[in-house]
Amino acid sequence: MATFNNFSLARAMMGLAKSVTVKRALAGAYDRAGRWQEQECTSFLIDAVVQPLNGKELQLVEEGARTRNTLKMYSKTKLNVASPTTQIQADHVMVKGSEFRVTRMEDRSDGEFYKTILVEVEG
Amino acid sequence: MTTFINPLDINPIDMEAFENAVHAWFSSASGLFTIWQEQGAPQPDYPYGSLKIISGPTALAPQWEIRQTYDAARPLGQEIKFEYAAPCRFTVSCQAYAKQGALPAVTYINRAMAALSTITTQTTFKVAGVAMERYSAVRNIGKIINETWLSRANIDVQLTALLLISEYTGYVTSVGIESTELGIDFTI
Repeated sequence: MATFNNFSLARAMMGLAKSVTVKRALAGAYDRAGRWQEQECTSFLIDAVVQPLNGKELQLVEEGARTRNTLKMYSKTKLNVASPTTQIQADHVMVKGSEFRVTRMEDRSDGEFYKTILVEVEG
Repeated sequence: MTTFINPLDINPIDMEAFENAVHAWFSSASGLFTIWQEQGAPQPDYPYGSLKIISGPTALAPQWEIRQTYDAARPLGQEIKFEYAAPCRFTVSCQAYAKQGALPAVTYINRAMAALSTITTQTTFKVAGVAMERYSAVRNIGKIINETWLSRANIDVQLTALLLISEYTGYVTSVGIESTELGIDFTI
């Protein structure tokens, strides 16, 4: 993102940020018998701006999840998206008492922030 | 007369002991870090081994053994215990993966196969109630992943483990016969 003189969009945007809780699954490990042992989740707070998706962004939501509640979130913290190769699990974000899964993350690090798309986790 | 299946027998084959014995043999004999497949877990670094039970348990029906014991101290209606034992066959697919240019995967499988008949392996199996029955040929099944050859080899091993289950029943304590027509009314 372009920075004009002392103006930073990230800084201006983060002025609107509120604290949200992120739940992250810790990496597990194989035991001596070759079985994977999951670890507990950890939680931490980040500052983020949460907004509804516009029509164009709704098309970025994965198929099968387009009828669920969706949100976009801007933050300075890089969050995890599920990866089939590394088996990293997606971070979950708590917004107004509901739990959302991070399904997409756009790296806007040149503007010092990240944009994520969140899909509500079905209870 | 009612029969009771022992609730402790809901897992009549000790699968944890079976899997641990197979894993102990394969990982130590091949020298590979070995995992069980399909756990939704990260892939280890190469070289590594993987195990998967691809068939079984298949009970070998003609070899069922039934043992019957009596114990008056057991609760009423459960004095007689039937113990059933049957060997069950499993087929375990054992795979090795290695990068091209390193030690070929087939070498690890050859090592594991060679150790199958050793006393050490047989003891490992015996302690867990497992017996090695037979094994397939070693297959060299390299494949291309992301435009790079991956060295891969496999052997299928047939093993048997013992299925143990018991049920309890009581016995007939008295029999009554009654007939007004014949004038019979007595209890034995």
